[in-house]
Amino acid sequence: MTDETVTPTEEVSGAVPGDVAGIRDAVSVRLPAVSAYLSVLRTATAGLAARLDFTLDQIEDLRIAVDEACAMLLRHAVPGTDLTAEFELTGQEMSVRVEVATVGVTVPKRDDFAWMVLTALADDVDAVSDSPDHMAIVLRKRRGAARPA
Amino acid sequence: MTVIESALLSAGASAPTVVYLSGDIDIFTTAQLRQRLLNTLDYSTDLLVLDLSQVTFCGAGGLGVLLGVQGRAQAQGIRLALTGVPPRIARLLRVTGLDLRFEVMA
Repeated sequence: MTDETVTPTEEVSGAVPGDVAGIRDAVSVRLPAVSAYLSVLRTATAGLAARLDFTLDQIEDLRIAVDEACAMLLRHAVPGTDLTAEFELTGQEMSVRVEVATVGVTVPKRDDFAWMVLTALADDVDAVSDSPDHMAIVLRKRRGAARPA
Repeated sequence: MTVIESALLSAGASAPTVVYLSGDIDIFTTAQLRQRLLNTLDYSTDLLVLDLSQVTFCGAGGLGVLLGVQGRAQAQGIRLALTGVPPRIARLLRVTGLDLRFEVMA
């Protein structure tokens, strides 16, 4: 259902002013912190990754990585609050910070299968829990970086 | 996420039970999927085949459900196999090492 949006087409590349390496975009998405909305965020992730001319495999890696990060956060999110995703696109890299409101300081379980998948698919992953009422995961993926087999 | 079971149409006890999954398998749909597949085990023949060809998304949670169902199937003497595995899911199976845990049929 979301597949139509993930293919980086000539048209999308052509719509970028200047060369791709010159991109520096910041995009914020705010959604209710419930699992029903994750498909929307996956679609946004794929669409933004396509702007950077990521390969289809890399776009899929990002789609899964963002989904895993959000799935971890949603377990701790305060009901009725929002999940925010801040994407930053530079010429070679996409970084995504996803964040939810929590009660107290919470950190993701790093021995979790989902964490293993997340770190395998993204180039860098950091869990940020510096504030007592928020929890965030920041992940980065570079275009052209060596990718898992 | 949609689950279509062909078991009721299958000819006899020796025929495989085939279940066709479609759509996104994510944390919004995994609980429902797990329950549907566990229900399927109650009337499955000795070979349960999950056709993933129409699955549009599957992350770690989805693989976890498949692993859990495989374990329950084995406990009941049912062999579980995957078929129609899309390239994206095949890649995720390799990345996680789970390709060695599942039987994949052409």
